[in-house]
Amino acid sequence: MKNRLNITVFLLAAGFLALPTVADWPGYGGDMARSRVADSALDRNLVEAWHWSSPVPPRPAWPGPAKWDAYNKVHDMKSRLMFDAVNHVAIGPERVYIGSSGDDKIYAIDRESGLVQWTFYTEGPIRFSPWLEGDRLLVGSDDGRIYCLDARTGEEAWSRRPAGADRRVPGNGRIISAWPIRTGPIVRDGIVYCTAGLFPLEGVYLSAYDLDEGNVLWSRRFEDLPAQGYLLASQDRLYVPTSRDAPVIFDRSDGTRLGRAGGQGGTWALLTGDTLVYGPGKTGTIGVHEATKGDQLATFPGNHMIVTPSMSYLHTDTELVALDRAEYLRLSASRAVAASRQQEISELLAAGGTEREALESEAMELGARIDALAAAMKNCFKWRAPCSHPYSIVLAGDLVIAGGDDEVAAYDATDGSLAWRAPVTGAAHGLAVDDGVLYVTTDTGALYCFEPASVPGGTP
Amino acid sequence: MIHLVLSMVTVTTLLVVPTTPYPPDTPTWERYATWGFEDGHVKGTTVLSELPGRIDGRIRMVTSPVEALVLDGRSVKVHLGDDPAAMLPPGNFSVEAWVVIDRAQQWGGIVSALQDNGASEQGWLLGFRDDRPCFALASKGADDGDGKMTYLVSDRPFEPGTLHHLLGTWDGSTMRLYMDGQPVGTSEEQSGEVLYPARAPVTLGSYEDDNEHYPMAGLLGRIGIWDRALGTEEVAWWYAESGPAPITETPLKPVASYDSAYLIPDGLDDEGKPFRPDPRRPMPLDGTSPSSIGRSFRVVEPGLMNMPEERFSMEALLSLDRVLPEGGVVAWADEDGRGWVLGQRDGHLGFALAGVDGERHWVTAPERFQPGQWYHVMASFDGAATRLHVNGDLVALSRKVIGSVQPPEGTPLSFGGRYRDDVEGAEHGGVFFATLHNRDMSTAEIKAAAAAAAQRVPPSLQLRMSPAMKPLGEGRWSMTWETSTPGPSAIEWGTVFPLSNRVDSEGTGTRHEAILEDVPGDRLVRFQVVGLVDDPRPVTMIQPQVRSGRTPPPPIPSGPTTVEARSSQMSFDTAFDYSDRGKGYILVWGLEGGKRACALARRYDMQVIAIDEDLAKVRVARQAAEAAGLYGERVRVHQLAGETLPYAPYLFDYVTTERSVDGTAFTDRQNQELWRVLRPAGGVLDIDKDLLGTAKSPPVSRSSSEAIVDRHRSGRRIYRRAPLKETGTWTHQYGDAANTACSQDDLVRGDMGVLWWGRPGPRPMMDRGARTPAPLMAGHRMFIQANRQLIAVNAYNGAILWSLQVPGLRRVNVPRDCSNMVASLDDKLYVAIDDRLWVIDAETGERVAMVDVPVQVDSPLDWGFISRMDGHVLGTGVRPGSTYTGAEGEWYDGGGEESWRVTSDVLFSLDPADHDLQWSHVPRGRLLNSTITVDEGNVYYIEARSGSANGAVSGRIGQTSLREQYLVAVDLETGRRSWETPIEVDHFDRMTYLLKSNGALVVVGTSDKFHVLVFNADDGSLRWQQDHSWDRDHHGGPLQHPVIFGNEVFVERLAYDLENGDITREGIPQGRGCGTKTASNHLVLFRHYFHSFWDPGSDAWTEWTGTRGGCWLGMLPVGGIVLAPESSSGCSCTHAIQTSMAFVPRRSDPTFSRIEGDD
Repeated sequence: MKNRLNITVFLLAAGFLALPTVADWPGYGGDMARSRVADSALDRNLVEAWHWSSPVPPRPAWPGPAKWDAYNKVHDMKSRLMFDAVNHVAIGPERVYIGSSGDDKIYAIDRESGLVQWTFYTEGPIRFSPWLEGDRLLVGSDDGRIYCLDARTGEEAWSRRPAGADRRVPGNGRIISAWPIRTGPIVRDGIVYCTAGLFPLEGVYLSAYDLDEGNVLWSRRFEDLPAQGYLLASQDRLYVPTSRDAPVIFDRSDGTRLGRAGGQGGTWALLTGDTLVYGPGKTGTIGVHEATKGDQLATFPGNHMIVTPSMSYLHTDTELVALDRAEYLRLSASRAVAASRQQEISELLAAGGTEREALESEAMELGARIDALAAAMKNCFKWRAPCSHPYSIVLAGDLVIAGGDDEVAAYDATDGSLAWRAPVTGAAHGLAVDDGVLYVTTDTGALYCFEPASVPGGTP
Repeated sequence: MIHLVLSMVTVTTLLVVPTTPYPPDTPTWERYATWGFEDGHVKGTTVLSELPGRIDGRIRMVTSPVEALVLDGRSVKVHLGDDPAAMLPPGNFSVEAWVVIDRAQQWGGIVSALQDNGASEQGWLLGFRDDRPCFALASKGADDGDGKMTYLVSDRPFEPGTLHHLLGTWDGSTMRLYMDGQPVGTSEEQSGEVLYPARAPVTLGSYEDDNEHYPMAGLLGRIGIWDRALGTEEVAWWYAESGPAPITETPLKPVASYDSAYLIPDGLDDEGKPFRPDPRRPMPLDGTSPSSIGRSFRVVEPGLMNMPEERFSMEALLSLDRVLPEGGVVAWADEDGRGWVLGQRDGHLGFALAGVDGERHWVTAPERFQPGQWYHVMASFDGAATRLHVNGDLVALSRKVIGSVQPPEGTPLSFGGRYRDDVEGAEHGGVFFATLHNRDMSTAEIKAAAAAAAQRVPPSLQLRMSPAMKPLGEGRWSMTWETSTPGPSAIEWGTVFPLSNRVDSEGTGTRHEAILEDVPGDRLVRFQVVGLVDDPRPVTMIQPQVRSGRTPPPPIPSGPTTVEARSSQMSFDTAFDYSDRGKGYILVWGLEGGKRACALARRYDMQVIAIDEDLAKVRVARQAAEAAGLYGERVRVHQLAGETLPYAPYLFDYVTTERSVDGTAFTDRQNQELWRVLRPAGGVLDIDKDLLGTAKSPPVSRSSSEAIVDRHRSGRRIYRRAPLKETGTWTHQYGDAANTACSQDDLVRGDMGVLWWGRPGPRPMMDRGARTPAPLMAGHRMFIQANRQLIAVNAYNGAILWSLQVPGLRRVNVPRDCSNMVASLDDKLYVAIDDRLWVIDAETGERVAMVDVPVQVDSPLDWGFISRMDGHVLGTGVRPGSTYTGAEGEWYDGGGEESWRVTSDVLFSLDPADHDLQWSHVPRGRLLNSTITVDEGNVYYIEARSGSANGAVSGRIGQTSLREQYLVAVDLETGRRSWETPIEVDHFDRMTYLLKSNGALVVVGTSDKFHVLVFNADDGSLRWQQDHSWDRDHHGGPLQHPVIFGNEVFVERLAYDLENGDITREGIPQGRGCGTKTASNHLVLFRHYFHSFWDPGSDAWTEWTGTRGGCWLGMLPVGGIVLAPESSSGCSCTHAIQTSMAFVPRRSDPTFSRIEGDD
């Protein structure tokens, strides 16, 4: 945690994040905004300290997307259900916690040695990372239960079944609850939030429990959304991804539904304030949505995105792109206003109204302005770098870490140059950073720990 | 002699007026009037002449191949006046035109001065009819009161896009027509002076009278009229003397060339190593992105060459696999639309060219390309026209770009696979060569180039049976195939080109098998079948595409234009490898250490769920499974709370216990639970009778007929669960051989809940729109026809039982044909693939027989219809190439060619045991596959006996041939005709269905409304007929298949009483989607936005938000449950979940009502 304080102070000063006190990397994405921005920087000379292999590799729930959309001639469609390609981790001061979609267990692994300290059995695949809150570990399972465990011992403090009923059916090739937990748990202000259920007509539940005792604070049943994808929380709102559809937004205080985002659907999402960034749609598009408005502010080609106050990083199948997102959005909004006015003028001219000369003059000015804005928007892309690590990214200090096939790599955030790379076994979909240490999980069930070469225990 | 000059001439030429008259005593060469389009002859919109005219439309003129006015085929023409009698010679005359006709049309006019309105025919015309020049004339001598016109049509066609000289003469008794100086027609039907109409538009470049206006497309050069008839020798001399001046053509030479036969010096593969193409094989286009420069394409900087902009030709020998909105194989283009692209547009080979107007214009072949087929494509530009030749034939011509190309500044010329900086324009397929030439070519040169290119295409290995691929587990795949001729054969395979693995077949005959090892999971694997052929070229033969079992079918004259011929793909997707997923579920209730659970997991390829109330026993069992390395993948241990099980009904294929015979017996309640969760139709309960206590419920109950007592190997009794009573099956496309679309299942009723969900889908499934064969269900198995793949699924728990990939398997547009798949209750699956019926063991997926079409009528036939009924395997033979196989997004929703019916030439019956022929029946017309119905000892069908139907070459016949239709009954035992009756269904232009129920034969079809005709099945007499307007004319509205529901037939939005035709219901829910309905005895299933259930009894309608079906029949109410295999594949909509799933009536499942309190 050596750099955490300074970075947090900086972020707070920038008005960008208002982080509550949470564990170091409490769950997937590193915070409840799933920002993938680490509190600490990473050394450029990381070495593998240890690795651990799950007895059973991850078994993702869903197969890949359709081969193509023949009717619309769309090839190479993206999977909008990529949440459990690997088992993702939560990181505490002493242990790394990882669930398994293969053997349904939660593992607590010692950060120093890489040895398993305790395990806990659930009765269904664990497809989402646990959430660590102090000494409580929250785990959601396809068995339909949310479990609260003692993070030190693995003892069950309480468990709840949000749907109430215990009905089990074959789902995604396993016998699981008809109401599996498919968003993972999240904790804020001492309240545990989770969902249960996939098929709206069977009922899909959004529930809130108090962390200490597991008492239900409120629970809502919905019949139009299949909750699936990592849950996100802001100061006032909960964001629930809905599989291939668009996320739905709720009031965090009582579960009142506030609206839903627009866009092409997907389960990869992050929050910056109450701006939702999500995708990948059908072909790899990240959309930006403000608060509860349905319209997209902007869209970018890519599968993933990292957002910071000063810069955003777009991650496509083949490259990494640095973008001055704030300026881009500002220009984009101006262009939209100008284009709207241009359209309006066009309609007025077509209608044969008066002041034709003035309108034509204004239209010409608008045309020039739109061209200028478009040129300025192009300048918002600061650099582009080829990137053959397409599965995941996190930002740690001045490095963008990216996971690929059998390799993980770090790119310099200032210019996109390759700063570091290391071999792993499998596709590296899972990245987590804490206290200068990088954890990588792959689709073979491997968990790697990379530390600075100088850290005791690391290989020099 | 001045030679004829064709389109290769590009230099400006002048029309020559001869100075020496011919013959010497000819009074004068002076013409009555002339019109020209060279400098000085056109002022503004006026054509200067003895008879000046006004040019209508956009004026564009060219100088090559002759100075001419561009006619756009829409609006451009020259109007000379409206009084032909006053303007034109009354007696003898000659009319000539130097003209380029770009395309044939039914009525074409070059010089028009006529009225041809019904019987009234007056004036004359120099023009063309279809692809032949014509000279038409009406004279006073032949006047029948309102004129009689003779259309003298040339005995030779003109060549589209080529300069011709046409000349017609009239000498008062004989009409003569000349083309290029040679006589091409004579008529003496007319006599005397011309019979001019009182008023008629006199035009150049258009056929026009009071009620017709047909502008021509092409170039209008000099036009002339004499007031005398030229003689034949004069015409020849005049043609030679007055034609364009000869031009010495520029030598043809390549500007830039890519050829797989030569090493590309700067070509690099993905790893940066020099890439050496194989000269014997085409370079593959694999859709790689620009970052992979070198492997799939080569980029040439334009500075290295002088890119031609005013005339050029771009030639390539290519094959494409994918349909793209716009794709480029060779391109010199930028993203702003400048330059040109040779590639495809929406499945049509094409060439896009940008002119100085900044617009990029496409010329495309009218027919779609066949994926995998090789084409010689020549795109050329001569400054006046853009032409596209495919295999030497001109297929498209455009004059939208004139002058020169708008060059893309600073843009490289790229060969192979892209033209934009993204992968969307990247082509998949192959290229042998691509060459940019310095000029356009003559027709002869193009034909010669196409012939030379054809020599590069490798010979085709003919496969008798395309490969069938079966996963064996752990990266192992079995591939079996048959070649038409005996000899060595092998599979080459890999994930990228060039294919790096090869497995030789051990066989040297026609049957081959190879086992592929270490095939990577979740990857697309490309392969090709390799063999040796008797060919003078020293090449190892490449099969560029796996095709059907023999020589490709002949082209279908006037047949459909959609892509149909592709029967396979060169890839299989290992993401469909289900072999390691377990084939079902075992329940072990009552644990004593977990040993039995582990033993079962080792013995069977199934998942074991072990349960006990006692947490200590649960822990011990978990430890045992962990120690055995089985926990997680094969064994999972749950702690049970209370006497009831949390599992939905029917889930477990095998239920047992670890309790010893002297252990605690199961209570009555537990006994019921054991039975409840056991899978019907064969699920095994393996628990000693003593442990089952004295329960009154199955299997112990004496009155139980649900259990089949069997003997365990140890001598212990085991119980096998019978099929659920009062449930239905779905063995044929529409449920049964009578096409009722009703399963007659009594259990499927009321509210439904989820029974299971998961694979297969969406990846292996067919794209949602093509009206695909329905899934089937018999016993406990559901059979799904995915994309060139068969998948068997345990209907009650969703476990994948087996899968088989067969590239040659595909049939779509089922409403206009029939399914290619039937299941039988004796554990067989019958699938028609090309000319064979595959008989597949339903339990294992193994082929147990391959049955040829046993009867041939005139020529070999493919297997069309299948039915399995009462000791018969019924089949029909269809002409090869007749079935629809479209795999490129075809929807088959409308009328026109996509509604043409697939018909059979012969109906036959085989013995199911040995597949020997029992009888065959040749219809008197063409038998409509969509109508074949089997029930109660008869086969019924509709046949079309019109001459055009019987004479059609193709097995698909369209509306004009669907005439003289008969409803026919054939005895199922003998194949003899029982009765026939003519029926009035010629107006059914969308589809024709036949079904049978309760002695009624129901014929349903649509024209502009739904028509229902019901006949008595015993004699064919008409019982009643009705019609009603349809609810919607889109999304399959007019295609809805009827559903028998008790004594009613549901036809789209109305229901009729089968007995008397009374309307019994109105407003039946139609749903938005493109699917069709199915029913149990109590519930109707269909696709609205999502899966939907409608209860006709209560009129309650529920919809399963988030999941949807496909565009035909995809929900089966069978076996007491509803099966809905994934069929929305490819849908880019935001429907939340794409999954196969099953539903169970809530009333059948007590777990719905067991709500657990907070604990």
